[in-house]
Amino acid sequence: MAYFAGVDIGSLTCDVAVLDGGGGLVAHEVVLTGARSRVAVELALSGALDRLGIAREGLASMVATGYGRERVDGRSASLTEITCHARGAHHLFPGTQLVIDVGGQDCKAIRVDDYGRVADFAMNDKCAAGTGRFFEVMARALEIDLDELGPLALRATKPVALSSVCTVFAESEVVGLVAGDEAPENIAAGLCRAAAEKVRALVHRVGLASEVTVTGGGALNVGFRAAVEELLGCTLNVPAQPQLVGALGAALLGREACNGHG
Amino acid sequence: MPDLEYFRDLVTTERRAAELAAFDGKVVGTFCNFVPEELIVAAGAVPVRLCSGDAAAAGASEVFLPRDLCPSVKATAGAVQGGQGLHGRADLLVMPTPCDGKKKLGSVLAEFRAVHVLDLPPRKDSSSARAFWLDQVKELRHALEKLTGRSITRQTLRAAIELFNRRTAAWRRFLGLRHLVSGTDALFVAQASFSDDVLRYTERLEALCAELEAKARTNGAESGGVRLLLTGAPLIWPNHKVIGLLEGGGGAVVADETCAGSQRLYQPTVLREWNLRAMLEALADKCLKPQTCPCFVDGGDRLNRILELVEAHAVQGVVYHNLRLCALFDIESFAVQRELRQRGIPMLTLATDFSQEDTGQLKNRVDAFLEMVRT
Repeated sequence: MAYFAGVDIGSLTCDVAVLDGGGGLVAHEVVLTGARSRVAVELALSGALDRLGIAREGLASMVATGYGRERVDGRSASLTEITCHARGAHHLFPGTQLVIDVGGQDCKAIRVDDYGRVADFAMNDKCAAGTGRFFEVMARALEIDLDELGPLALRATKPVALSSVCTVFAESEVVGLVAGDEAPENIAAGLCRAAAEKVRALVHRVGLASEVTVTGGGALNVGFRAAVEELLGCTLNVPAQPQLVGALGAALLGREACNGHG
Repeated sequence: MPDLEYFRDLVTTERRAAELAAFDGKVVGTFCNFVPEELIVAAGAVPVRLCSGDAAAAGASEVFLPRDLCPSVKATAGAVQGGQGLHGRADLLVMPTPCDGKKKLGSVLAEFRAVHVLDLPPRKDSSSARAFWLDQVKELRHALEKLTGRSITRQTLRAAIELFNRRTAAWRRFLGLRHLVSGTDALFVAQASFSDDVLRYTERLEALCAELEAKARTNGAESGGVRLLLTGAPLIWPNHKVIGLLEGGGGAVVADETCAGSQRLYQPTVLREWNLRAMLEALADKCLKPQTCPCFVDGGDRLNRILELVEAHAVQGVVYHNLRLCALFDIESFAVQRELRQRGIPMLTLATDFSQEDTGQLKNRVDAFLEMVRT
């Protein structure tokens, strides 16, 4: 049996997906990247491969993606996560025309064609507004865990309007709101809304489409998803494991290259 | 291999600064593409274009300029204040006023060096703009004559215009051959003209064209990369970060629409009568009307030029370089994107400055764009 691996090494997490010859997902692993990306890649890969009981040499291909893609030893190819998220999202939801990927340090809107190829894309500038890092910093300012932020936001009665989405200024603003006894759920909803506004601007640069899939760690935030759905006026496709979509796309593209199409 | 080392060397070393340090005539610093360099040569002085892409000089300017200002304006100011190399050698700075930063730069730099401000009209296609600009060019003529103590005569100005037209002819010949060199090298060739002696540069460029023509006859194969057009804010040495990423990732910049690249030497001075008045008028026209800087109220010709180049060079993708805090290029990017999308030409917008900290993010965008265009 031939196996195909995709390794997505991002700023916050390292994700591995392994497909079998038929293209089915047979193993996966998500670990925190930490300060040493090579260690994270080793951990994630060995975690997934041990579960299958196969060695590294047993892989027919291993495609690397994400910011650390060119530092993954033994890769057969490297592709940007933009190409990989498009392919992965198309696999999970074949009608996908637009992908919103909220990663650790950036946020992207990707237009996808009928074959899962990138038709156009836009990304945030060099700033953390609307990224996974933005939510991380804000959760800390609210003294809650990151995964509590979304559910908290959904309980808001009157979301606050934040005047800044700059991570540094918004953090000061949140600290001020907390000190002023503003309800945490209203602040949380305001933050989700602010991040969603950034996403809307990116989406309009590439053009809104009817079927939209959200990927990356930010897709786990239910409050953010609700804000995006409200602003864009559509229902989002949400993968069961949104963080894994890049690695899945990488594995699929490796498999296609081996099979001589794609 | 064609001899590009001469051009790279002029841009990346202090060779020309050393040469001009030993020169006992006057040196006139210019900025942008609006200054009629022919007048400087006709007055017996040497023109050098001093626009800078130096991150360290930009940082150094923050002592006397705000942090939130276009990096190009800051770098230029920092380099003049620092007084090293060519920036220290200039006896007079001729400063046009295309944008807010450059409008104020004249008075800021006057503290360090003699400055002549060349006012630009807000429009370029009206008869009043033309008359206003002609007056500016005439005032510059008198300022230059005062500087060198030599009059600009019919003979000296005609000789200068003919020399610069020969340089433009050589440049246009080079543009027909530039697919045989990398886009990075084409930028070096253009930017070597910032400081080189005009005649020597023209002869070197003509020799390069002859070499490239010979190469085209024996082996005309191109690099085979994704064919790109670069437009937007200029990439001025040492800020070649963006073109390095484009060509390092497998792109080939086969054309550019930038003021420190192809646009720099593209326009000839056109006239029928070689009298002084006609020469001044033609020179003024050349330095205003065909300039595609987004600083003008009426700016459709830049878009037309981009579309022409896309067609002429079978461009597969356009890369639009925005310099942070230059609103003018940024605003026009939306209209350019819209027009290109209608024609099915993908465009990548990159917003950056002279720092290196975003190189990873930019590389990601560039690589994704190249992957997209290839499939």
